[in-house]
Amino acid sequence: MDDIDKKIINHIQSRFPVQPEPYRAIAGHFGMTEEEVWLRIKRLRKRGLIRRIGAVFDSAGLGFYSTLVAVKTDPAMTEKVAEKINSLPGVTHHYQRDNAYSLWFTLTGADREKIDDTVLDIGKWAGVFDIMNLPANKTFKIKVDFQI
Amino acid sequence: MIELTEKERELIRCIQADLPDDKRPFLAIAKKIGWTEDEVMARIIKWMEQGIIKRFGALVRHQNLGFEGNAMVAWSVPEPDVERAGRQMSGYPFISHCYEREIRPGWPYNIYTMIHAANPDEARSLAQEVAKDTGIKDFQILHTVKEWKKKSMEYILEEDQDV
Repeated sequence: MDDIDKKIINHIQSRFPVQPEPYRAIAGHFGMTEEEVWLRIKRLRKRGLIRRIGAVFDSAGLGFYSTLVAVKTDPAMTEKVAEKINSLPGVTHHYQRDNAYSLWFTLTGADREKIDDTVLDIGKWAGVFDIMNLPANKTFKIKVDFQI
Repeated sequence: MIELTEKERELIRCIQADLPDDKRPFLAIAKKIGWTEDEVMARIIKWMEQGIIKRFGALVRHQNLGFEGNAMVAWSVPEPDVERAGRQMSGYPFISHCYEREIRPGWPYNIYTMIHAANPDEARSLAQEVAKDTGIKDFQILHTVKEWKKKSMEYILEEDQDV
């Protein structure tokens, strides 16, 4: 990845042109040809540096409910529990962390009741010592693009 | 969930995923769902203006780009200080997310920040810096040991089943 790749990534993280010929528009912005921009972005996608180009929806804006869940696991069972969590629909971000509450994940769904039920259900799984349902009361900041 | 027409659901299904490999991606989507290219672009722009779409663009894979030290830091902030501390923490460029959540028995942490750093040591020193600046001394750094899953939410599933 060279400086031009970085410039392109930084640009299209928040401003991918919603225009008939977006790659031509990006090229115009940087004084490049459409073909060059097209090939560079294609390569960045292929290498996984860009994992997706598309819309990032606001869950609440679509009327969805979302929460953060922390699970205290039996250390011998953490992997098993993690795999089971991974298979649930609505789990998007799921990390193992260096804490007694070892598994942290976001759970999103169409209504709150269902989400709360899912959390209660996980609390009864084998290997789960405790579970915390931590919906946000207030969002101070969400910044999703990173200058690289 | 908000009221959506079947066509709108189809559009969401397309743009919650990766853009088609096409120099005219909005035309490709339009053909797929039976809209015009203008209709597709206009609807995306309208949803952006309404805040239903937070942004339209590329999602980068941080682990590949030198953010191996990402950590969640949970802070125990006295109730009267929550607003001030939340705003102050949001001001740091290395903090990407900042939320207030309720405390739980045995877990007195009510502000959660995501810190992006090159390595765990840097994450620690950045958290110390925030603690010093804000006066919030009681915190837990939760380093990422393993990424189990990271994907974009699928709001509308292929089979139209509820999430």
